[in-house]
Amino acid sequence: MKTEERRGGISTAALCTLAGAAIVAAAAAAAACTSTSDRTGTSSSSGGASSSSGGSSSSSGGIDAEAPAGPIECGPAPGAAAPFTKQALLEAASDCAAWHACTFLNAATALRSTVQDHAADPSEEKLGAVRDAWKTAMNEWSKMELFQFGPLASTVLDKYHGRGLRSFVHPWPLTSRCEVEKQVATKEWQAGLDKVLPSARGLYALEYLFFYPDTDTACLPASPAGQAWSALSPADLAKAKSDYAIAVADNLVAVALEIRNVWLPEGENFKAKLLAFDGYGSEQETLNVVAWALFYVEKEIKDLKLASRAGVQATPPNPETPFADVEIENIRTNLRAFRSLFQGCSEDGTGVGFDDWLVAAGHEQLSTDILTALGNVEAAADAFPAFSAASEEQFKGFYDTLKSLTDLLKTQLFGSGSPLNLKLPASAASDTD
Amino acid sequence: MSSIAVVPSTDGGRPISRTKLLEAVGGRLRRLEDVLLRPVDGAWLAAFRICFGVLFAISMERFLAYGWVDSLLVDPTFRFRYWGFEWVEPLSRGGMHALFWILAGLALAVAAGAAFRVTAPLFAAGLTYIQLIDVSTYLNHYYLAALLAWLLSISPANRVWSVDAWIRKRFGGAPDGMGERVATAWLVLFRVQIGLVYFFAGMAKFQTDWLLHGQPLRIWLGASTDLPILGKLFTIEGVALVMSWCGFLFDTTIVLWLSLKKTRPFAYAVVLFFHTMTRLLFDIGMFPFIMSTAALVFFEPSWPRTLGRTVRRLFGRRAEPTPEPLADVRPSEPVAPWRARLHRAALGLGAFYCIVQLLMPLRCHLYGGNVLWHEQGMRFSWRVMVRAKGGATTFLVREKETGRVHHVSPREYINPYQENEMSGQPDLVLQLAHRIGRDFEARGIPVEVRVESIVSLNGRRGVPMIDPDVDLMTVRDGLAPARWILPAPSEPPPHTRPVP
Repeated sequence: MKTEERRGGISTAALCTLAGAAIVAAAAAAAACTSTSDRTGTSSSSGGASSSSGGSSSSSGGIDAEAPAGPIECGPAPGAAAPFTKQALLEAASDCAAWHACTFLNAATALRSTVQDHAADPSEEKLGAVRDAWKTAMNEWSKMELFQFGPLASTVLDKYHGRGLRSFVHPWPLTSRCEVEKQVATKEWQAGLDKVLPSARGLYALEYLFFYPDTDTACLPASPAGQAWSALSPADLAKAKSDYAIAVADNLVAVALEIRNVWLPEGENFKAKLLAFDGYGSEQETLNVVAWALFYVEKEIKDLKLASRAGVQATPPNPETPFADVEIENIRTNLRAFRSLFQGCSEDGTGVGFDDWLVAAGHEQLSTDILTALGNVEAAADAFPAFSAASEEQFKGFYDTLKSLTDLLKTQLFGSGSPLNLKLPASAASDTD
Repeated sequence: MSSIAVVPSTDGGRPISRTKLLEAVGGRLRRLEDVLLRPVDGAWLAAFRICFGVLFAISMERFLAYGWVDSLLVDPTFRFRYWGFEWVEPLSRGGMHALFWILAGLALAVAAGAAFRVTAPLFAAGLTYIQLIDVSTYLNHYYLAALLAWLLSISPANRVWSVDAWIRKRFGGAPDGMGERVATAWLVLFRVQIGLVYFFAGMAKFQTDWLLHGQPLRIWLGASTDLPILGKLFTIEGVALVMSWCGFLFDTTIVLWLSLKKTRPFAYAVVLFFHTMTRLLFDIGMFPFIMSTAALVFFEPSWPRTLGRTVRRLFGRRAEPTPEPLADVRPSEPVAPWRARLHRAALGLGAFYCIVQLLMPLRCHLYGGNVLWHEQGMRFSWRVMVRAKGGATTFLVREKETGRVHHVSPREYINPYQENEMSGQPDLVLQLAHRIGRDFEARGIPVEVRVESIVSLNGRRGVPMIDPDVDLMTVRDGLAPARWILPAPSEPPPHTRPVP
């Protein structure tokens, strides 16, 4: 035993070294545990879940909108050039989102005014004004909706702070014509718009109400909604549509106010949360979530707006604006919004963006490749006809041009090969080695 | 007749008879056998068992708490299969959750040394089963965990500080002659296993991306620039390369420093520092804890007792009575021939295991090229944290009769996690290509399946990984070099700068 001990024992000094190292390691590992939990978003200390549920209920129609009398001053698009830091990027993304929230609020307010005017004294001229205002609002929204991080985003896209405000403005692709008609015919909305599904609200409902001229219904004739619809006289139907339109437009302004409030310093001041990684746990995870907004071009534009029409997916197309037919206009605007987040918010792309990060990190080539691909897609979009006039070959060509951009995003900007360590969106967190 | 055959010798130029050579070899083998069968204190193995059991109970709970049982094992509708294990299916959702709870319980039973001969193999089997469900969940440290679980389950790890030992003692079970001792071979086996992990993890870094360009560490450090103090350090030019070299030198030499008595405590302090850093910087789960625990096998077998006595003294408590002498317990009676044969067979099996473990990581050299690109021989070879690889994959399905081409997105079959894993692993792309092709053919549409696969390695521009002209329906997965994988990009990776 003694021989074994002499041979195999460790000195007291060595043991003390060992014990000390173990204590340090244990403390550091405990700190690491906390840090990583936060980074993966699984920590119970994240405030995302609670704010998420609370937010959903407040945005579902309960807001009593205090509409501004006229357009509020949003100023020019922010986009001051600045040396790149990650904080500067988060600040730029926040400012850009806040500016879009402001311009969208103005557009929504203007739309509500035209809807009210039309309801008070309907005429073809006023209908035209409503339609123009709707197109303006849709255009502003097509910029805003690319900024899907924070409360605007769904809980899938931003599991920390997402509360799905987007779906109350523009529920596509989860739209339902029958659900809108049901609200018109049964007037269930009078019990409170918070009881109305998002699929029957927002810009989609207004598009249907002002762009669809016919009086048929998509609901089953035998259903309560179908029967209620059939029972309405043409005059009653017009009145019911008008009443519902006013309610939906009111609600749209309410949600637009809520979105603007997200960014207002005197409101929710979400910018401060982003800059402090509040709830996200780390700067990198915050940047991940903001960057995932760029994936709109992959999921929504490429897969949902184009793939079916290009004949590369077997599913039938699910048009974003089936009655107004402004699909390509929306895509053009989406792409401009992509540029404002990727490159910089001002009209000419000045400002801090992800391209600056790539350059700062030594990946100028990737930045150039993405901007070149984006330019090609924008040019293709600008030259593309209205969806209703385009052939499958044209769609396929446009799809392929867009795919060259989205492949760059998936291959090099995001995922395991990302030089910026940006994770792919909604990928299940797990250990790596 | 063979006894008169001669073989050339370098021993003074005199030929040696084959018999003498065999005798000499046999003598050395017997001496080696003596050394390997020499009993040592089993305290090290007991400590390993306890730590291992506790760590894996936590590991199973992590899977449950983070929802990985569902997201990684239950929810996927398509699963990537291991060769020969295509039949392995997950249990139902409830069944999988129950399994993880059971495995956590079994891990604690292993830690306690309770019914060890039953609980340890069951735990090892369960751990192996969950890894066989989907290749895309493969991680080196899960693989290591399974190997250690099996080694532990056949070892006499319940001889010391276990419920089994207590029961045996309390109720007068038959002593097995070894008391609280185990054969040296067990120590050697565990040391070889852990040593190979470190060594091959180091050798995987012996390549230009890592040593000349500091990639992919440059990329990864960029994600941690918000860490207090350290984050600023990472943005300094040259730090990533220095850290790359430190990582390489640590992995390739740490076994040596741990094996030398004088350097061992300091080397272990470095082990703790290294794994703490990896835990801080990367999402590598329990791996740092496993390796920090595993590295303790390089200490003398009685280290837990010594540590215990030292701690007791530090707290002013009386030291435990000295245990029975352990040094020389060679049985005075000769070992029964059947038992000697059994020992020899066990040692042979252990040697075979070590040789397999030694050769597995080397098999990639049979394929040539860059294993980080083609991935042939990548798994089971301890190439830990050496590649940042991402890609975009589109399957182009061409109907043979009409020529019509369908684009099939991987997302129609697999979840984002699987897609991320698949995009850089050609054999997984091949598996999904076959599945997509079979689906079309099941509808009576004969097809060719090609792949547009753009992959970026360690920050390089994305390039095609799979030959887009090859109909993957005509390719069978196997051990032969995969000609349908295109060569790796030859240019160096870009110089990434971690940015604050």
